[in-house]
Amino acid sequence: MDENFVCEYCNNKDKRYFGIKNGKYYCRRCIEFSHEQVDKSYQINKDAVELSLNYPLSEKQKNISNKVLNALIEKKNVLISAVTGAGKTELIYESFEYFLKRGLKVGFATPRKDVVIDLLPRFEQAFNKLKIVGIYQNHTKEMLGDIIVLTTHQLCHFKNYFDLLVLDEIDAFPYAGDFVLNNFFYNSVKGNYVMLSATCNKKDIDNIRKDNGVVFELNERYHKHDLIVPIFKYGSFHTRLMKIILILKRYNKENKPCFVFCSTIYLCERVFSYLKLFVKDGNVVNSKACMRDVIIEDFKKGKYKYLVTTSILERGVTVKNLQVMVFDADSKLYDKDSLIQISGRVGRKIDSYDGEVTFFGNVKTEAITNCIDRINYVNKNKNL
Amino acid sequence: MLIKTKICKRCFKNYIPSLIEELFYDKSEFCLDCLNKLENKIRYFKLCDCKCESLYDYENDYESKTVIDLIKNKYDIELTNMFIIKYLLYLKIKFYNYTICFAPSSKSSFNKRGFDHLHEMFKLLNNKKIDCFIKTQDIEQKHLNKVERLNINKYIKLNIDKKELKNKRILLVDDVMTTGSTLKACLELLKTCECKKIMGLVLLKHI
Repeated sequence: MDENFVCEYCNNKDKRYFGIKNGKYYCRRCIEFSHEQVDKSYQINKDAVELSLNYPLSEKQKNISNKVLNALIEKKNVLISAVTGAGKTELIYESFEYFLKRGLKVGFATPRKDVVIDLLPRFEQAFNKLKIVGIYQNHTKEMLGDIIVLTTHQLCHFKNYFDLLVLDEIDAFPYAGDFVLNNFFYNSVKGNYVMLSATCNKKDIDNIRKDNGVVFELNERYHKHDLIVPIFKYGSFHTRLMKIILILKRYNKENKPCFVFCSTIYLCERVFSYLKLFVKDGNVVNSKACMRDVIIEDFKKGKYKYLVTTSILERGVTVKNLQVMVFDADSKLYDKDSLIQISGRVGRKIDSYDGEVTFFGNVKTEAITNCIDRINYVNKNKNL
Repeated sequence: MLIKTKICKRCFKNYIPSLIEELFYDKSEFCLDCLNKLENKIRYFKLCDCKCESLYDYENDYESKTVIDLIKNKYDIELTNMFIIKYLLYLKIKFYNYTICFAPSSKSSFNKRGFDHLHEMFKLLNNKKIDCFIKTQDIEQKHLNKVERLNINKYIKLNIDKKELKNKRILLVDDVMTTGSTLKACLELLKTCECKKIMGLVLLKHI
């Protein structure tokens, strides 16, 4: 048997993950993923590449967008650290256009399925003549297109494929800290990669500096208004419920949609069972709910006035005029980053930059204070 | 070191086998946490007047579903013992002098997998084993619907001489039972062989 066996898909060398079949080692760490590879001979439709944006980029965005493109031409990797709602996705359109015009393969990966569904129409709008494919769980029939938007799990089909691969939300579950997914990502990059994040830590920055990379920062939202600073309110379970019901009724009158975040699925169901008695037109969304795509779609259309949800909607979702409440912000499951992401859901559109973020809890934990401090800091230093 | 640590093959963590595990599951390579995730539910039922039993439920049991999927579709040979190990002592005593007959499986999936999953699953039982059935056509049942599955008996035939099974206690085994048509067809064939006793055993059963 080969003593120096290394898994060709996930680069695993740890012997505890090896199995023996017919006298040969095989890797069991990435065995849940299919190893079928896509056809690499796909030709990109170069003539149809045309970037059409409905709105112009802000000056700072243009500046960074140019810098990113230049870095990529110099064959460097890029990390963009920008606040929530800064328009991170728009920053890479220019680079996409440059690569596609030369017939190179580009892709956009993110850990969350909901983000993929959310991004597809945005790409279709920007590159309206190209074929854009979304690949995520239970949606894998069509694998080839000019622009591929996919979850990090589906990168297993694209070994050594992309000339430019963008990874959004690098600190999100399940990508962050997952050995197999991380290696899938690095293995599927043939050329360079761009990482996007609103809440990246020092480790990511160090890693990318080591790996021939540059870091760009953008501390200003697209519409140049401040990030919304969360308000913290004390209360026991029932007082919290009372307060939430009052606030929801006010939002209803003002016709504003609202998310109520809960830390666990159980709590989610329990809170909704109370809320639905007092406020009409709501629903629950969590990872176990069937038809979750349909519910989110309906919410965006305005069928529901509020959604009680777990952290699945904490990232990458853009709804106009949205307000946010967190039922148990003092829960151990919320760290600083996820709280920043949650408060970043509010005021993302140019015509509705204002909003409210309310955290409820019994104690003001370190994560909450850190989150509020960080948002204040970013607001102060946005012109840097 | 006096204490031996093992590596669980399901969750890849180190664990120290307890005394009970040392005594009863000494060949086990799984930690008790992983084993206990499989809900043991023995169900007794009759097919063609033969007593049959199933060890786990296929529905409602997320863990058993994932494990059987890993074995059959992702070709993970190391997990094959997992279903038997909890019942090893029980099965060894109950089916002491039985001969194990395997239900037929399609050849193409065997070639893909590189191993026969049924043989591997019952490897820990020391009974005499024979492969007495053969599929005349290579059909994979997972693509068929309920009515088409009922016609499976046309394609199953005995592979060996009937005299070999005469006056023997036979235990027919299979991994997953959905409609029971394969088992029924096999039991009908076994009944023509004048066996002393016929029983059936399936690991997972659709309720």
